[in-house]
Amino acid sequence: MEIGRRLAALLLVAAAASAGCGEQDEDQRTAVRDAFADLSGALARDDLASACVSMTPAAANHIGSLAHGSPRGCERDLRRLFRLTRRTDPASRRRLRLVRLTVDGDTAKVLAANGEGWTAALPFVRVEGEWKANRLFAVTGPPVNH
Amino acid sequence: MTSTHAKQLLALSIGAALAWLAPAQGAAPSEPATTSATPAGVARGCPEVTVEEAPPSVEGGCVAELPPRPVRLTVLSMYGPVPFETCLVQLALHVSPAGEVWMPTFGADEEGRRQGACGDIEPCRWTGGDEPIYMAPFDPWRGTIERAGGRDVAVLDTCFDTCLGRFEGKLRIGLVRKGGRWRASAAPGSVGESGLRLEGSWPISWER
Repeated sequence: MEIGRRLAALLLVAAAASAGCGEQDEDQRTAVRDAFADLSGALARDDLASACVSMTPAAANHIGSLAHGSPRGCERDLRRLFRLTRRTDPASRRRLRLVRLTVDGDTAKVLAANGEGWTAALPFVRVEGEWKANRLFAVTGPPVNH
Repeated sequence: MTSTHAKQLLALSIGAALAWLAPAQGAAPSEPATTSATPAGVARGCPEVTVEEAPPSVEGGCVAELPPRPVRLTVLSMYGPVPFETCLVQLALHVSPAGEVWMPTFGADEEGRRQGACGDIEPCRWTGGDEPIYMAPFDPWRGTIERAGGRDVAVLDTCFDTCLGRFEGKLRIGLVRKGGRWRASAAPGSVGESGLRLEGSWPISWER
């Protein structure tokens, strides 16, 4: 009888703790979803200033370094990226859809898909409490300069 | 509370915990349906493959030569699909009787010359970890022949070092026999979840 009460109390405490952790995790997942929506929305409407706010300096530097370039400021580098990708069908620039999200501490991976089901796992990091995209591409390292 | 009640509560709690875990399990990367690691048709009767580590070389097996053909490379980014380049891509596959496959040759040229973005594609080796292994000279990509949707598919651990960054993951190249002729197809072949997509096909000449 006494063992049963103790076990029930233990389970209640564990359940409460789990619920707390779950809420915390869900808060972070919601925050990453919001960050993803903010950035994809800003890119879709060519709002470069907002897009730059939604990225880490590493992501901005990566954009500037693309195709043998040198970083010259986030908005300017984004404009250059858009010029490099001018062949892109504007219709295909519709917002990507979030299909899967994994959060691990201060890092997260968003599996995003376009309308054709084509996917890319995009990295996000939490910087001073805010989630930001750490790359616009699903790459694991910096671009090379052969 | 009786011990029976305690057991019931424990069982309910475990059930709830499993139900709570279920979405995370369901979120794991999914593989295409109906795949099998059983040595497939193209591997049957192949000679053994000899692989040397230093210097890297692959000899033997059934050899599929894929001559240079245009392959369109595109990357899905946060901004949407970004065209990378159309390159002449030349490949070779060595298939062992156990259904293992090696790709010792990967060439991406533009009109026969290494120039533009095509010249910026360097193959590296990905083993599923966080960091790729750089190969100089190119170390063969490895993989297996699987059956998927009634056809043979070479599934290779690939890594592309480009001027956009490194793209890593499993690349699937379908091997199809039609009217007595073999064709290989990456149409479209996505490199894992990296967003890099290859679209192209090649005639295959087999040395068996």
